[in-house]
Amino acid sequence: MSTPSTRLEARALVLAYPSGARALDGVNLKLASGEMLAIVGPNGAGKSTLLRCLAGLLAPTAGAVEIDGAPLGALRPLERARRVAYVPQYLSAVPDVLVEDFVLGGRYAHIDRWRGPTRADLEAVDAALSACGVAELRERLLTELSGGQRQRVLLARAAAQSAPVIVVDEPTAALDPAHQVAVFGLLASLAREGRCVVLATHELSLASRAADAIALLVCGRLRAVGAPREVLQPALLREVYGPDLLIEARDGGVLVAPWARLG
Amino acid sequence: MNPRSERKRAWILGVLLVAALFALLLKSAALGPSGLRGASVARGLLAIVGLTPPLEPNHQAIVELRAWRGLCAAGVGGALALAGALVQGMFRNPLASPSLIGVTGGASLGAALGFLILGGVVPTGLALGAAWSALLVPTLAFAGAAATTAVVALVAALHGRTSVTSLLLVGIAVNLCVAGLFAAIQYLTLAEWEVGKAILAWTFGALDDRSAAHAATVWIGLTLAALCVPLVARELDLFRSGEDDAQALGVDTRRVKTIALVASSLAASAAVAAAGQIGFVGLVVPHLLRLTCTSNYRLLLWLSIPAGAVFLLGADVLQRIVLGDGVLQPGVMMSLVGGPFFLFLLLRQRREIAHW
Repeated sequence: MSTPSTRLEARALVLAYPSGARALDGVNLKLASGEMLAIVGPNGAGKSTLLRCLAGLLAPTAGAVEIDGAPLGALRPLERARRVAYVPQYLSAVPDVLVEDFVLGGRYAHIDRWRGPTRADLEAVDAALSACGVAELRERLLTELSGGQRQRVLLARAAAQSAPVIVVDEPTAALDPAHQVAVFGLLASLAREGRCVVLATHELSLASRAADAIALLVCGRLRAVGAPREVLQPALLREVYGPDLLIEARDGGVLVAPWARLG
Repeated sequence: MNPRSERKRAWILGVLLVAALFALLLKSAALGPSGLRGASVARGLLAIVGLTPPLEPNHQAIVELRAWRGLCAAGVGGALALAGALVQGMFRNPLASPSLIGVTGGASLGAALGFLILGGVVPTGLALGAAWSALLVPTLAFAGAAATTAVVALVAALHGRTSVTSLLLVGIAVNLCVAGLFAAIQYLTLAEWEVGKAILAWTFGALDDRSAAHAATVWIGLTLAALCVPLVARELDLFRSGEDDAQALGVDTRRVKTIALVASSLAASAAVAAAGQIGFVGLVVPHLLRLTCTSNYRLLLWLSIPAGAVFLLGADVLQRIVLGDGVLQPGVMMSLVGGPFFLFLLLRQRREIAHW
């Protein structure tokens, strides 16, 4: 992708529920194009909420998300979708459409209502299908795919959206190890093409090898942000996740796995 | 299935449906006990648009009456099917129908009010001319349907974001209120035999005694609704993976829901105003198209118009051939035929049911 460099910035994000409880409490983040940021943290820490704010789908109670200095909340839906692509953890309904039609849906913000898809739109779909390794699935129905295939098709749709920022919610939940590696590799390559990639994940080991930075979110607050090996410190991880962890620095990354005497 | 072949099949089906529609309109105009021959019917039809001198007054009147009946049946069928397809797309549920958002109940209430005024039960102090009297019931039915839909939409939007679930729940609540009022009117007019009978008959639907005004009402409503189709078709296709997902892709979901709601209400209100209550068309026709041709709203919304027209007009022509003129009212006929037919389809498509 030949987009000029982009900056994604979240400043003092607060998201409060009507009860007053805060899902997010003063979150600051910065990310430049070509970078991949992994947001990690225990269940219920506010990762998904943070991602939806970063994607402009949820308006924060206070603070702002800006892309190149322009607040995301002020953009109309079409303009927002040209800047940020959001990949949900799963679809609330899986329609019985062809994979290529589904991926073409990612071009919605680019397609003129009256003229329909242009050659550029179809080329973007082709490129995204190839990049995500799902070109051979294009004439299959989305409902017929396995979880791993469907996840890659979702990423292909986001890639076809040609937005400089991609926000991905737990892309490897329910995937086997080989598919987890493939998806992380795909996200890293999307970042190398010049996008800002933000993902939420529980795969600390893969995140430590693929991401440029890791943000540890605990109870709506950032506990630590920085290079993977700085953030994934044994003491900090055990404080946040409890003692049942196997942690080992290895090959430039950190191997973190649940490990306990059971029964 | 290949999308190219899907598009091709949709075009072929569309052309066939339009051809069938014209054939049925001609058949409908030629059908009846008066002994008019095909050539005279054709001349009578051309006379309506001023191309030939009219037939002898009695015969001309008969041809015109049949023409309005055919045009009403076609327009009502098309409008109900389009309204059904729009509502199903918006609710993301193939079992949704325009009655969910209050169209049917509101129209019934409006029509009942019209009969009360015509019957002198509600004194208005106005002396209505014959022309106004004829238009009073359709006008009030349309107003009732549009007003009820507006109430449903506004109440559902009270707390900011209108979710489809809140629309559905408010629709149920408002429908209950309206049905209660309608039942109250029916109860209170038990003694007014003529008024009570007119109200009851209206709920069966009617295609006989239609005028140019009835046909114009439904076709104008249908045309206005059809003009909205390009503004929501692509969006409703994206709604199929969830409203949140469509929003993330850049769809202005609020705008789409508003347009779909207004368009479906307009089409269904016009249909109900022209021909009273006719069920099943809005539910069955889009469903038939999904089973036989496409689930793609860009094709389905357009196809539903000729398909609904052929469905209702075809059923009307068929019953006139089999049973003679005006034996069963269209609402009754649709319930009797549509219900078992739909059940049959569902049993044939058990896999479909499992997917809901």
